[in-house]
Amino acid sequence: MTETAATVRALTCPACGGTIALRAAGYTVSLVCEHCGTTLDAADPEVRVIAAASAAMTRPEIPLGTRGALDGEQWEVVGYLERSDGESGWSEYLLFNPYLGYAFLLDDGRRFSLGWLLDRLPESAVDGLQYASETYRRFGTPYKTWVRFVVGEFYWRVAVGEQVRVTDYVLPGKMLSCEENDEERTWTLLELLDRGVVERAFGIDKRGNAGAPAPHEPSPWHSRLIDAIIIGTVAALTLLFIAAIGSNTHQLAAADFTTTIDAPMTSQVIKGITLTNPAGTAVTIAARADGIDNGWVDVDLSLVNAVTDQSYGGYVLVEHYTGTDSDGAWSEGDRRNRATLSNVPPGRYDLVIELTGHRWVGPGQSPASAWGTADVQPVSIVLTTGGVFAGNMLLALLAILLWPAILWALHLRFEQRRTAPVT
Amino acid sequence: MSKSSILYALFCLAVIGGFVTTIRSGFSPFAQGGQRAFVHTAYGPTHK
Repeated sequence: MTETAATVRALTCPACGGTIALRAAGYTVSLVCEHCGTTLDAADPEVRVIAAASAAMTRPEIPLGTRGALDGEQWEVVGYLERSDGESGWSEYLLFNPYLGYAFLLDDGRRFSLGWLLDRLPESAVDGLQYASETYRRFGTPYKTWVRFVVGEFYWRVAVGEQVRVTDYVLPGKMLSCEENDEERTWTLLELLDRGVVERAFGIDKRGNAGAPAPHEPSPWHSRLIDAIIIGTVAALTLLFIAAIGSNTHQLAAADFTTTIDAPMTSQVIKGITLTNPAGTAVTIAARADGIDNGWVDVDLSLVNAVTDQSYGGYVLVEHYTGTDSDGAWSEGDRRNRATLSNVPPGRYDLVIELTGHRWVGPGQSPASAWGTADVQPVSIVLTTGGVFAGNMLLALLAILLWPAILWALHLRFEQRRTAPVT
Repeated sequence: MSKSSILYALFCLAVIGGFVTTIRSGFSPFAQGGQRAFVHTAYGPTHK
């Protein structure tokens, strides 16, 4: 830690007679009396008045003369000014260390940033400026600011009403700020300080989190979003890999039947289906009626335990329709369909199948004139076990993607607030 | 890695574990099971 040297010299304000401490004697050019606000020429041995007080005195939150350590270096507050761009205002403290020189402590009312004047110019980059191997992107459009209030001592002639044109360039955590007027152009590098650092260093109340983020404030959700994307991607790929491995199915039974259209229901049975998995089995029963046209077949299914008579029911509808209208030919329906039974316990089962065929009678048609389906339709039934339920996989994927989606929304909302025009 | 990321990783493990369990037991809340939840109640084309 660097000790601040004894550089304080006492002066008397020629306007109000108050005693003023000149803390950076030899460096300070202008001095604003902390009692009456009169701007004095600190370089003149007579401490000449440059400008009379033009604004009511304001006491800075960090009083002039307060010392505090930032990044291991001791700084003393020697000047304070308030700026405005017409829409919002902020405060700037001028810090002094006789060995390090001056630094700025910018207070936007929510977070503090520590800034230094650059001793070399940033270089142009494709999408902004480059400085110290980092690329800064331009933030917003150039804007004018003026000094609303000033007190303390400064190494330049500062006065209320002083205007500069500012252009900001940002990257998360840092900002390059170009200030220019008719005489000069200066570049300042600002680094966002962690919450509570300045409050602890200078003994002021801790700031809340309300208000719009600073232009160079990193999104608090970004790192968590990156973590979540990596973890979520690994988990989703693992899920898909497991689904691919577990998608194998085993055909246990198959049979072909016929159903007569518009006849009473017929009942068929496939016997001797044995399920062995003690944890339960997924059963899929597929029905297929390739010849059906302009009609449908109801396939009622019951998988009945041969010992306990416990029944697991399902239903399949196979249907197909065709026709023509003013737009041309159309068709709809599916001649293949299936029913799925979940977690069927182990045991010997019979599959009871009830088939009912129907002919569709369109508007303006009589049953006798309806066309398409033949009177007797073959229906194939296939029973398989195992496989992966697509619904389960989609639910698991949704569950995995939910947290990254929430973080992404929070990150976007933060970025929108960060880049939104000040209102 | 933040605490929330670790919790999320554990959550993903739980989801994958649950998914594996549904494969092993052949369970799905979306299956017809013993009920006729997805029975069509209307027949005929919907073509207009």
